[in-house]
Amino acid sequence: MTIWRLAWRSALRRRRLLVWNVAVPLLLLTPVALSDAAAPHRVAVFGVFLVFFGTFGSTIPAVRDARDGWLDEVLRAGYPAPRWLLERTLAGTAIDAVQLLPVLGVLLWTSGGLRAGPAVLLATLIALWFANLAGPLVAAAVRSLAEAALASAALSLLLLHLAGFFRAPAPGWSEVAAAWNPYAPLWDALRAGVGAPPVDLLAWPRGLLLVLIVTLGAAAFPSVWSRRLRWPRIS
Amino acid sequence: MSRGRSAHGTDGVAAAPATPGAHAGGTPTVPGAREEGTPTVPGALVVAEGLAYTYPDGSPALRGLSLEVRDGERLGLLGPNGSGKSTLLRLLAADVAPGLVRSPGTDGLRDRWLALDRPVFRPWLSGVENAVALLELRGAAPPAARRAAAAWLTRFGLADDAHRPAGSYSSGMRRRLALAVAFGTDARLLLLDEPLAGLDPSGRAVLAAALSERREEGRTTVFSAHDPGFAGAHCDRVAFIVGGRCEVADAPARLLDRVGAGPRVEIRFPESPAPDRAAIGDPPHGVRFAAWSGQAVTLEVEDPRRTLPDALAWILRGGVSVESVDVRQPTLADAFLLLTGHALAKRGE
Repeated sequence: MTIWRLAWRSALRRRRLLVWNVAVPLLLLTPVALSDAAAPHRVAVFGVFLVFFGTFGSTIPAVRDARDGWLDEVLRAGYPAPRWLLERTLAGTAIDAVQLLPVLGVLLWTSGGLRAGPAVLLATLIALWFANLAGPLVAAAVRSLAEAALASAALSLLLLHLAGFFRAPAPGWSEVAAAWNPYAPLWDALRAGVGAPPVDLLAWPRGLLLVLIVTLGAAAFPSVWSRRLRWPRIS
Repeated sequence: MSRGRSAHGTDGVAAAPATPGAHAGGTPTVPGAREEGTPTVPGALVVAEGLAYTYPDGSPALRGLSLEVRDGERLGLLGPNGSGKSTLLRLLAADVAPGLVRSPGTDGLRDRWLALDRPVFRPWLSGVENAVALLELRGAAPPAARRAAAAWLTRFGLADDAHRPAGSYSSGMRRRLALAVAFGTDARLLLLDEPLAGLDPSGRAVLAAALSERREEGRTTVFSAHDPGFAGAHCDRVAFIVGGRCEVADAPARLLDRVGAGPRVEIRFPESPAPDRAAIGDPPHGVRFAAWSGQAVTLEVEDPRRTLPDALAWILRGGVSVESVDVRQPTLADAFLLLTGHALAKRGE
């Protein structure tokens, strides 16, 4: 678990960044939680923020680690690429969740949705896992930080849209896309947290299955993405 | 998780001895010396046969380079910038490199370690945290990694700065940190890219001692350098790399024998057009050969005291002024120039 330990040690060494990562969500989202905006709008703002937080926070460091040669150093040391990916995703998910817990608490407390807390926490973990997993995969497909930011935003917004964050899925393929969406559980749990319908756990398995498939696929075929993250590409 | 084989034990790291030659470990056993797939050159750890590499932009880096790395030797790579030394080291460290045949014991990623010319660290972590992390990534258990990191950081003079963020290190300190990590591994094959860059004299002395100890342990080290003096003093063999090929590889003494033991007179000109070689004609009597290189000519002479006035007059016929004249014994730089036809480095490099 070297990468897991290294991620936590890095997070704790960069205390200013850690404080910012807790404070900024609170500063931006507390007014939204306290506002009289309609529940779907509050859910959409929170959903976009959580997913961007996870995806950008994973993609940008992945690009940096690739470009400065750190990942090449890690893999040349003999550390298996799938293990690096899974430990990094696990650590990123845990660290992001710790940083986002306060603002999620504010949302649930101000909305009277504390009873949905466990579901919101679980759905947030699923969403952050997928976002953190997507980071290195997106980084492998781009050539610069700017492209990474653009691709992360586009991927996140597309998936959020398909999950139903911005409008209810129409019958037909939109419903299928929503059901197989990694962010569908987050949509469902956040809505329950702000007082909309109760959590519908039946809507979760297909989204979870997609997360599992992507995770296993990335771990099973590391050469597809890891070679593109090594710089210079002599490996 | 499997760990790299260690001559000192099974903790995956190398202890830093307090004094040279104080190792308890003996020469490591080489398993399966002549198994199928092993190098065809006896005693070779890795054999490159016609190794070629082209960068993704299409520019060739290696053009059919052939060279063997012998078990337990210190092999120095000398060559001008862009000759392919770093690429060769990277390929020697890579997991897949067509054209390379490795012997058992160096065929796993954890059997070798490459210290890059530009070391990569996490700047927000301290020096010792970076070292421990890299040793752990290589498979060392955390306590063993901490012990090895502390010992080698001390050896390389970083004990007082070990807990400072690596981002605050000078380039020389970063080099020392990279070398501490490299020697802290138990890698059977250690690859060092420009290990002298940024090192002060005390750091060079520590590096020289560490190289010597690895030699006594029977471990193999390959490093690139631009300092023929260091390479000549601390290598068992030196390979001259030019244009992506290995022109010659031999012991330093034998390389010098090849070019003759006569003293050298090096005459340098200012930054102006070099003498017209057609106009000045052949070198005077007493000059065995003349090797031209940019703004200098190196002459092998029989007796500098008798030949120098004639040599200077010969050069001045070319209508140039002379900046400096040095009389010295031959070095590997002279051997490089004579055997490859290229200067080892441009002036100032």
